Amino acid sequence: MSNLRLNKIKPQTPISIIVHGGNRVGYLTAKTLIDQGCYVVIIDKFNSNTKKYLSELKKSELFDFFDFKGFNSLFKNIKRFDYLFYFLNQKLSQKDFDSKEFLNETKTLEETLANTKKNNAKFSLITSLPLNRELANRVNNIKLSAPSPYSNIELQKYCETLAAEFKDKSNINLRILRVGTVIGKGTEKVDNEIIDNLLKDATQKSQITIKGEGLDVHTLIHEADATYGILKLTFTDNTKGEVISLANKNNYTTLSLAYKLLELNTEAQTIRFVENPESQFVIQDLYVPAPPATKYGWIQQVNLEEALVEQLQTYYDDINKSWDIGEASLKKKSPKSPVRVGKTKLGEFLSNLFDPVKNTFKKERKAEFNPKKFFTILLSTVGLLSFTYFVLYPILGTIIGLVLINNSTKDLTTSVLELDEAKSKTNIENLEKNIDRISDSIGNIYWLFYITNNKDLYDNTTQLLLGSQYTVQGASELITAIYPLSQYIQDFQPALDFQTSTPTTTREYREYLKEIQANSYKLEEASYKISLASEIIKNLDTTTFPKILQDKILEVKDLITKLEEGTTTFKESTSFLPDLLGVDQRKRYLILLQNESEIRSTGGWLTSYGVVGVEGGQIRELFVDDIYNADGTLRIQNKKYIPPKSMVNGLEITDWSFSLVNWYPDLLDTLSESEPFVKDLGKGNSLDGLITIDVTFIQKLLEKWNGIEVPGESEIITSENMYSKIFEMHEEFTPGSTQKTTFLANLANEIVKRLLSMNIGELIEISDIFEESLSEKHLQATFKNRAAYTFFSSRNWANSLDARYNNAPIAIDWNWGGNKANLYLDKNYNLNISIKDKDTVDFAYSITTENSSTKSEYPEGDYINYQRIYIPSEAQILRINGFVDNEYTIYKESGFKVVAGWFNTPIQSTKSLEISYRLERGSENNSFTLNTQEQNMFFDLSLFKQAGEKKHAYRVDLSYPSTWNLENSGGLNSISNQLSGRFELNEDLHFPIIWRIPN
Amino acid sequence: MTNSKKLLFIILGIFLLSVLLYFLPLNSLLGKIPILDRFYNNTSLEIVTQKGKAKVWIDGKDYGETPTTVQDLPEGSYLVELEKISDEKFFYEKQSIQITLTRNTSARIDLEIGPQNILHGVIIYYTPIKTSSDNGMLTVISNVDGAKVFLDKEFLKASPISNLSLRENQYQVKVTAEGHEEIDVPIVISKNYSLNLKTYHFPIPTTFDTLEEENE
Repeated sequence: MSNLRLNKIKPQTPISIIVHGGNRVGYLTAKTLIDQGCYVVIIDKFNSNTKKYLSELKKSELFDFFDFKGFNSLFKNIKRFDYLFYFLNQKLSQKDFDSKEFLNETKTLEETLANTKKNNAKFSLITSLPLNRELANRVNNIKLSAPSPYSNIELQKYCETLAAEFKDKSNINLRILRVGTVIGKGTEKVDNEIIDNLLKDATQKSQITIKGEGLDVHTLIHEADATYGILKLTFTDNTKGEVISLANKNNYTTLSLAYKLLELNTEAQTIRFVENPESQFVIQDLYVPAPPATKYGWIQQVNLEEALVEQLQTYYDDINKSWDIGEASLKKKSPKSPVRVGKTKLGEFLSNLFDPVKNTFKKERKAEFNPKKFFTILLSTVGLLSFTYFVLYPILGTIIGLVLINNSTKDLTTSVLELDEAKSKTNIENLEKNIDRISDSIGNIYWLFYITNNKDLYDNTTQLLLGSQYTVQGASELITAIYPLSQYIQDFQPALDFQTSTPTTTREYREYLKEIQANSYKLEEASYKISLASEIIKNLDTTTFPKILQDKILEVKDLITKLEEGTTTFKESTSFLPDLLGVDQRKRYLILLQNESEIRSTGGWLTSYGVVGVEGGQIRELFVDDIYNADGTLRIQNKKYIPPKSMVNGLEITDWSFSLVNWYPDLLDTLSESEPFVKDLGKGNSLDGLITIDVTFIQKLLEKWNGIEVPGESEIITSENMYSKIFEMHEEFTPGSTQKTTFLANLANEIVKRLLSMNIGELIEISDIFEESLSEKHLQATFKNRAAYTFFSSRNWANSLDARYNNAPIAIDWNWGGNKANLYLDKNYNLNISIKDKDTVDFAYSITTENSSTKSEYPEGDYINYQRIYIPSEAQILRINGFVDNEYTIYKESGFKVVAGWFNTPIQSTKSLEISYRLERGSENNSFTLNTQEQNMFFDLSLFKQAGEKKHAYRVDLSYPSTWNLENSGGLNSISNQLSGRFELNEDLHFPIIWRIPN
Repeated sequence: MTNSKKLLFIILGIFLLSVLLYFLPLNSLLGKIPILDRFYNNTSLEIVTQKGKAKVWIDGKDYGETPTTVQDLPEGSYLVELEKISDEKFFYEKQSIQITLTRNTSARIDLEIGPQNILHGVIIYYTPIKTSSDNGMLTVISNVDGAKVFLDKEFLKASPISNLSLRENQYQVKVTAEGHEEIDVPIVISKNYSLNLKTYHFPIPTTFDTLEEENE
């Protein structure tokens, strides 16, 4: 069979899949669906039992059969399906299973559920009502033995629980239908031993034999009623999530059934009671069934008598015996249609409303034709229709639309926060429809804007609607794309924490990660649409709207900008997130805690380190320790590391330790330099990324949470007392001590716990802390994964010194005084840029440092700073002044020219350092800082902020040739042919400046 | 029936008609009426891949290989999937592109599929707009953030640009991005439509210069 055939099905043709459908009710269900134009696929074993049904169904073009061997291939190839009927009750006719068979069945159900969810289809699990009754009786009666572990009762119980849990987790449209014992003319053998024996006795013997008292209870249903019930309950929406009993209204005892059979003039004429050796001592049937199907509109069509007659006829046919049913014994009934025709409340209302109009028209028909009256009516009608179409409909439509949009928006907010994908999608669809409708309504009222000379308002309104349409279209894709990540965040339970090394769970989240990857194109589209919407809405002229709406429009502008930023960030991050979370293999990351009060190249003095291993979205390794313990361990192992040449020259050290590994300012360099240390410490052969956090970042979180309780600490740790706590521990630190490590591990653990216990809304609330910390470099990250590196680097979150920094100098401090003097420093940076012509640019840069320390006592003291200034490698140095004893070295490193020397500031003093250099366009135009394209000159001024530096004052002055026409000042102030800016350098800054130049 | 009753029914009628007009999907219904449907299902989509062929699927349906032009699709949003035909099976990833087709317009996908999921080229399509002016509009978005957009050699601004009002005419659009190959493409702006131009740029391979460490 054919996937090919399946994929040719017209989009409007519904597709149903019936698992275990090779039985009488499955056949009737399939046949009914096919008759209604539905495409049906049955999945079952092909054997002598199923053959007769499948051969019959195969005559139809709208039918296909799959053996269980092709189960996976079906779901892999099928593009969609709408309904899935899982006839578990067929499987349950077998009493016992082996473990393999049991597991296979549950696995099949699980996969079927997952595919139903994927296709957003309706699912009906059909199980056995008698088995459920038996289970309940066993539970209620302790005298009865428990079912064997792989019995049909256990299988039903397991499958029903599995389906219900899946429904709760994924909110699929699922119901469980417990069907009674099926009888009818197509049922060759009733699937109930007692009733089967009754029927056999009735047709073959002179006496019906009843074991025991015959008071055991049976629930029966005719095959036609069962089929109709299964379809009715599946199609009805209010059955979603329900467990329903589908059987005749009345229950029957064995005895009453036997009497009924005697009434039908069967072979047997009397009843014989015999002792039941397998009596199960059921004193009272305590079973309370699930709500009946009648509650959902199902009506029993075939009464017991008719059903038994059909069933008896089948049993007689089976033994080739004729049966003369007495006329009197079967009361003939006129067939009752299951279809009732009525009027809805709205229909009744409309009918009542239009009754007089109908009468009016009847009267009109009788009237004679009057041309004058006709034209009057015609003109009136045209006038009324025009009024409706061009006035009333646009106004009324807009009002209705706005109300509906308002409601949908509220519902959408709730459903998004509750991670209800289906509901969110529905709300978005409603929003999209209503925005489209309002847009059409507004189009019809253009004439009003035209005659009132409000074309600007019309244009801005249509733009607002277009922007809204794009936003909603983007949001629709975004919801689908974001769902697996949201689920991952919600479901994530770490297997390890900072205190224990024994995994608490084996759960992995690979499926979520793969789904994130698979949804990337949706995200691409979402980002595109939202980006367009953002541009459109940002360019709206707010002043053209009525004053009452202007504040709302401004809010919308703000909101769409945030949405765009968020979507872009998310889009870019999904390209690497699964890999970073170890979708294919384990990834290992180094975490460094820096203390910025003693500044070093990447942000501060390294105090502690941690290693985290992630695989399948789960934390598989977690370790944290004091960095001086690591140094001590390596020293004991007699490990030696050669420091970089520039470090040897500058700091005059010969051995490199892990605590000094952040010599290079670029975080990627620190990552690669850390690998040998981490390897020798036995924490992994390679690292995939590096994350640095500093004290300020932790303080920001604590400030937001008003402190946090840390085990072992008598007081709540807040942003205020945390610094002093670390200071104190550092002063008391002795190699091998664990006081600081324990405190930091406990603190980190509490922070991680707090973060993981937050819902999406709370996480969004603290997202600004992460964003701010990343921008200000209190939190930094770099990765070997190219996409991840680009993502963090392009946002200035990776402290990377890349090709963007091809003009302004970069100052890197290294506090080598063993104190926290950086807490007492104030700095001023001045940068003077003079663009001589399109080929020459001069830079004059100065740093002034004031040390307000009052004493040479820890943490205060002289600022002993090894200063490095990174400038473009092709720069010609014009002047250097301010280094101690005017001694400095110049060398090339990491693609830059570096001017390095000691630039110290003693307590209570102010010092200045100056450096001037020139950039000239070389023969190779590519890397020069001024870029000419067509008639334009582009100059991207990029200022680098060293991680860990406080906010210091920065001043930029730029002059350019007077013949150049400024097109974009990049945010700097412009006077004549000069640009200037005064600000605090709190993060990396970029100023894209554009001129139009004469030919 | 009295006049006041008639008036009441007329008022009620036009209110109901207004509400009905709001909820009635007029375009969708008209698009299903024979003869009229040809005015509603007349989009065309041209798909071209540079330097090699690709298999084409639209909403899961196989449309053969590039170059191909698919005509008479109903307006709406479509998922176009392109898989480069190559001996290196795992070198090129299948590309999924969402595109919106508007009636009476044509759209074009002109891409080169590169390894590691990178693309170079353009996607062009029109969407209808409502405006009081006689101009059409231009929207440009690049996969490289901050790419520079030039219109007839004049620098416009950095991407994205949305709904820039332009007179009906043919223009030349150039999009450049640092470290990436540029795109130069002719476009036609039409009244009552916004032309959407999506550009993708191959990165220019980096050449490394060895810097010797030296002291001056």
